[in-house]
Amino acid sequence: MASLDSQVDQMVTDPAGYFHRSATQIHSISRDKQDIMQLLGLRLRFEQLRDRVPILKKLADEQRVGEITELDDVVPLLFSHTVYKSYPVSLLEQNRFAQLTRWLQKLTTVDLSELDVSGCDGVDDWIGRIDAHTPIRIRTSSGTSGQMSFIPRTVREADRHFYSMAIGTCDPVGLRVPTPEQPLDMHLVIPTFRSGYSGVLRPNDYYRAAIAGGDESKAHFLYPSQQSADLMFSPGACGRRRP
Amino acid sequence: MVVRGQVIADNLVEIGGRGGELRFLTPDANAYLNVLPLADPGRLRDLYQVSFEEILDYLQELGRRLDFDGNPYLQEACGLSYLTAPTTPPLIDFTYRRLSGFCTRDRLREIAEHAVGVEYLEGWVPIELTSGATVQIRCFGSRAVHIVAGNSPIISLLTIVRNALLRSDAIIKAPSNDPFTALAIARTMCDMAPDHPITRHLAVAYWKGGDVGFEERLYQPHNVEKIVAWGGFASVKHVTRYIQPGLELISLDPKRSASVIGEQAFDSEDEMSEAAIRLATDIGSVNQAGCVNARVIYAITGTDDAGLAKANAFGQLVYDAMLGLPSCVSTKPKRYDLSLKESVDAVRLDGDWYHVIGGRDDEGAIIVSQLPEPVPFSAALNDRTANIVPVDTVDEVLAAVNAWTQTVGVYPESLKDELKGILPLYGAQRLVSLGYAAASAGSNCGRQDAIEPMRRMGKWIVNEIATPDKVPPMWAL
Repeated sequence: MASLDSQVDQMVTDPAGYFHRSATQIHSISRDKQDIMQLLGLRLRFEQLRDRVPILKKLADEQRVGEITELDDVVPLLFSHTVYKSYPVSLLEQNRFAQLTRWLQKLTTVDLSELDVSGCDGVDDWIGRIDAHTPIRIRTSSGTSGQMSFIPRTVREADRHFYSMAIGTCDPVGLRVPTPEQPLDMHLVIPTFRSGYSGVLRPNDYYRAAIAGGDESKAHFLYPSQQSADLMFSPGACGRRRP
Repeated sequence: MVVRGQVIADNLVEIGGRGGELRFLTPDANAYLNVLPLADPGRLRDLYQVSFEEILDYLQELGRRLDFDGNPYLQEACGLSYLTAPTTPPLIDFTYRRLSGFCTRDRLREIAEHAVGVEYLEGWVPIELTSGATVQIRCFGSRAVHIVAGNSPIISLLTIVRNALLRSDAIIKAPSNDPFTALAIARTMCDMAPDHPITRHLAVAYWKGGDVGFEERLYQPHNVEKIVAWGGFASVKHVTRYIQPGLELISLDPKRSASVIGEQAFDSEDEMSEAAIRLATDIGSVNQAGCVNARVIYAITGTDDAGLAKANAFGQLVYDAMLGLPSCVSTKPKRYDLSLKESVDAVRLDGDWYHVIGGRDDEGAIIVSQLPEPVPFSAALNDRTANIVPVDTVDEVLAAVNAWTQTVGVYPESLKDELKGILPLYGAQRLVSLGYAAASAGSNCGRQDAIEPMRRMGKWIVNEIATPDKVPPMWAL
């Protein structure tokens, strides 16, 4: 059997593979092992990221968390939702995307210093530019409160998340768990937009690939277009002006 | 529940007070729907057997009996309010001890005179018209439901005083964050003069706001002519559903208040300290639970590095001054709003756009914007948390004033003189010398939220007198 450290490394890097895409295996891990794996996994992540994600470093300093010695140590380091929308609203309202990018940089290890966002004329344009030139796939909130959250998830993180979640969805009902290499070949019906940058719509790309096998004729959406983040942000202006 | 001189304690139902620390029993308002409203408006006649001076006698005596140390009802209400009020015991104690002083004769007369005009309350005021006719005008009382706010006990007393001065009939719907004050005053009135017309024209009840089945039956033009609604956006919006011809809404709806600090305040250390203690008072008094409290402050410091340095230094002075306020004026907040804390902590972490002073111990915080823009959560500022926004010109302040702006505190006075002709056009409703935002306790000559609630609580009746010899009759055309 592999050493504990290498097991932890595998679980953190490829959780679906580590559990052999089996819900039974996920739920069969002993409590003791789960606790130690989670603790070591969090410790590994914290050590890897602490000095690379500026907001994490500041939060850890502020909370005086130097290392993770028990599971609860991580609680003060969990970002509240407000961290993802702590930028001035005028950056969006006035298309100041260079400054918004510098704000985003504090939440990610991906180097955005070379990203050219000049000429971006809206949120869709800005996120599209980031999609095209970096591995970040921003997920937005609806923005209806007046402020839109931007969560900078990388492609690797999104892959890991989707294909891990697929285990819980497929395996218990007897469906084969899809992988990027071996998608399912099923019809897909989603009664909303075909795509979009919100946290709700971003996974649609994965559904199309993993469930409909990339076959457009099998992917059925209520609206065949992309939902506009700019459109979602603008009604929030009403919320911003309310007392 | 008190209904027209009678204390009622039957048909009890259990209610959860605001904040979840207290459950209490109250008579089920549904069981008293027939006696809560004054079904026959003619019964207001007894108030017209009482002169204005006698009304003042009554209220003056009530004030005397509201002396906190001698009034067990107030003492009980005060103690229970610790559990429901948004403020802390020292602030609640202080306000309860001020209730008695609110009812001084000179002050009551001042309110009646400047908000309505005593002669209009006492009789018919004649006016000779160019047409030859004479009109007589008199302000009559009305029947109203008062949905009062619970952020200060003074609001319940103010409502009772206004109702008495106007010879009106009031049903007070007690708020869940102060279910006790109006009741304690009403019980004092019952002990003092159970059969007096003023006592007989007051009902105080609690029911859960939004109980449509109950409210639809009570809020009818045959029961009441006016609804005076204080409160937040959702509760005032809810009340509008009952408005119909014959039933008027007097809306004291949600308000935000702001401050403007002129560039002169940053000329010297003395000026800065003076502006800081005044601003700290407008932020911190009643722990920022009032609509009058300062939340967003525009400081004309300029927005270059020197300007930001001034704003940051000023922010520290304001924070220090706020923590040093007397404990009867301001304390550490009762329960710091958790979602506000998340927002404050988030901008603290970012650091580039906002400089956060304090707030780590839930004591309140001063956030100094490092750009001429309020924090994204400016509408949620509360619990002694304020945002100083540096600006280059006063024009940027005007853009931030709107229909929801109630009080604007300005320093120095000369700047207020410059602004007083302009701010109202944008929506500002009350201008005060910085430091006095929470000082007037509702008696600022009856004006409130840019309306005249007392005048509107009355019914302005005109009696037109014309004779054919003075006014050419239409029948003879």
